[in-house]
Amino acid sequence: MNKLALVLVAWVALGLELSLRPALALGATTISPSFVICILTLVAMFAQPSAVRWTALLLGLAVDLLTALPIANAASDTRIVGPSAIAFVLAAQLVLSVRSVMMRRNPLTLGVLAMLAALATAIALVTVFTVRSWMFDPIAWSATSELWTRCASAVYTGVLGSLLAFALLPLAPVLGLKIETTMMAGRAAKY
Amino acid sequence: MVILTPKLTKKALPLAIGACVVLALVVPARWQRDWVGPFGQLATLLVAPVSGPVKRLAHFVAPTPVPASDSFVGQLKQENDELRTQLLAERAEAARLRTLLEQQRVMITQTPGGVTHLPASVIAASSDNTMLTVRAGTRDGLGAGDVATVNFVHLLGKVNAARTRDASVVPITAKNAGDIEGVVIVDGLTMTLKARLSPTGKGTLVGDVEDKRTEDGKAIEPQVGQDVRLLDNAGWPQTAQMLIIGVIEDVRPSPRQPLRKQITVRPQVGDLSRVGEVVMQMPLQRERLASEREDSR
Repeated sequence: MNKLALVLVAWVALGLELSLRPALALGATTISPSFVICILTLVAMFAQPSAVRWTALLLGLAVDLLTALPIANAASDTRIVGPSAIAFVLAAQLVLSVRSVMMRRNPLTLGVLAMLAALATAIALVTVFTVRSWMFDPIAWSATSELWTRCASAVYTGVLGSLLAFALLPLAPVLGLKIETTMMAGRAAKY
Repeated sequence: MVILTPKLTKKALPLAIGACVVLALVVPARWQRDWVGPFGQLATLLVAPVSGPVKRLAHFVAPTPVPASDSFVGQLKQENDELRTQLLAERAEAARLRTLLEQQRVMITQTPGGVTHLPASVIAASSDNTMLTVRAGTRDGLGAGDVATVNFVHLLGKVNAARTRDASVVPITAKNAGDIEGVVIVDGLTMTLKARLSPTGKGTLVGDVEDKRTEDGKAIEPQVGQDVRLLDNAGWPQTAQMLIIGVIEDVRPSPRQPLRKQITVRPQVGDLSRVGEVVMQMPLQRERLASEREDSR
């Protein structure tokens, strides 16, 4: 895997995550797609398992560092290391376990897997933060509302993933990801 | 990933995941805040070259409907808004001073003239719209508690953390922003209704207005479209008083007190989390210190 290229792509994805998500939000809601999960899904579809887990962990840590959580009843925020890292590793593991039965060169596959990864991330994050809000952190957190919003965002991420696939799949060789030659290659070339 | 041998990688990965599990589930946020903060700041700084231009581009493509100031009418409206804000602020200040004089404890620490404005671009927004990161920090004289506005007259929020190069602003519509007190401008500047507004987390603020009656006993009721301005001496600096919070979008009987009305207020500038540029209000003295520090550098 070409690590430098991956770092560059991850950097751009993190920048887009910070800046474009509010602009892409549906109406007045916070339902918005995740660019980072699309990149993670691409890597998880084609890279070696250990590289996938490391990538998930590092991307998750970066997202944790960039995410400021509001403290309840105080105009203050905090950053917590770990939740996204764990959630991303779980999501990557999910993609690793199903990728062998998927037609990976089909753009829709990236969308579907991105949606599954985002769902897994959402469930893991909501679980962790709900436990934290019960146990020891005064974060402004509503499990039901967050779960609904994040599940809807996961579907939105799937749609974005399907669209981004047209740019990301051709980018895969640049990232050093080996797309195996299968019988589907002819059909995929159309994309 | 780059330098680790496969053998080391095999051991390091479970260790790293284990460390993340411990940090995520066992270590309280208050123990992480001090040491994670600088790394978060660094990460934001590293990502800013991408997020800043993209944010500006997104704002250019889908601009927040800030009242136009480029056309002649827009400029007049802007001037009108500024003068109106200034006048209302002066009146509020006069009323406050009158009260203070009556109580014989005049302690004026700050005047509206003692404030300076600093334009700053928004470089990031949290995905749940509870926080904006602006490109201005302590080196520019910004500090926690300073007020962020849009076009000088529309209240956006308050700085909750200022770092060297950037600062976090909590918009007034964020669910964690807390309640604010404002006044509904019913009839020019002579008749106002007080209201305590709470953010709904959906870009609006909701709250009950006071039950006020005319001399003949007729209830004064708020109407859709009326301006709501800040008048909260307890929670906001004097210089922020009478800034525009928004306009009334909906009026209905209060579910808690049927005799009162509940209003829904939406900022005139639309979704505060999508604003591309803000104007920070900060004490003049701090700005001078910052510029002196900059000169000496």
